[in-house]
Amino acid sequence: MSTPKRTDRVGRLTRMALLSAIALTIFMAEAQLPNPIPIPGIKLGLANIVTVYAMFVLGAGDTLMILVTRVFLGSVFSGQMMTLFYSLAGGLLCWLAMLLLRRRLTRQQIWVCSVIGGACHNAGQLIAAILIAGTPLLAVYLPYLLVAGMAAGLFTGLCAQFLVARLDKIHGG
Amino acid sequence: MKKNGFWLVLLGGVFALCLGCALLLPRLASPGLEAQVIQHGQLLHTLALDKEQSLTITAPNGGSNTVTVRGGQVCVSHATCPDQVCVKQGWVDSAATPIVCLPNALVIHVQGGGGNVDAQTN
Repeated sequence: MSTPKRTDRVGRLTRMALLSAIALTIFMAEAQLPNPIPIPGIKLGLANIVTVYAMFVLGAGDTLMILVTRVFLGSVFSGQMMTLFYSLAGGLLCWLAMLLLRRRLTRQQIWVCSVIGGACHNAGQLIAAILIAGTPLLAVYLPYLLVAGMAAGLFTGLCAQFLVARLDKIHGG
Repeated sequence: MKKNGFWLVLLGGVFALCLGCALLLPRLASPGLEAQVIQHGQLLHTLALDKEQSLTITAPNGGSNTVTVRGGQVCVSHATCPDQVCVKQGWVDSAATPIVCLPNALVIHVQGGGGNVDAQTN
């Protein structure tokens, strides 16, 4: 009886490793593009397509591990360890929001989860920035970051939603 | 689909509110008189904006930013970090958008002014 269980575990590990690698690749590719918006903390965050996808297909625990792996290795590879704290704070708050929302939403509403997740991500990032830079002055960036987080979340969320729908069609025989 | 409408209205409303704030806030801010240079919560320098000057601040992590003041405005003219967001933020003369360098935990905040601003500018 232990054999199928073991295969399950290996399969799960392989899937998580594959998704982490995909997320990290997207992250590094996006980091090569010049950022057109001169406001600190704003970017498209394409790697979160993987996060949102995993949240709805694999489950919260696996998603957290993929997320933390990608954020940690992303900081190491981009050579900026300080960004680890900002990304981690944003990522964890986003994950928590999506965890609470996930069960209340259908697979046609993945974009909703992602929009709220994006807003929470940037709010978490701002809280980390206020703590690290040591000044509450940065709170003036909240409206900019929420607008950007929701817009980016809508884009990545729709990508993830289409991805889930297409993969359902392939697997759903 | 009814549920989608609910989320659309809710999220659209929040989005519009934030967008309104983001567009309105910079218009409310008036030019300031001095720039505070803050790193890791410590006020390192207070620079008068009417005095042309430039100084380089080195962060504990080894990265550095060069802050330049000219003509009542302040900017980061050079930074060692790869993303260069603080440099791209350009010249700032009010509290609306403090210059931020996240990798070096550096914040440059313009303050002062208010009532004095009319007397100071010609």
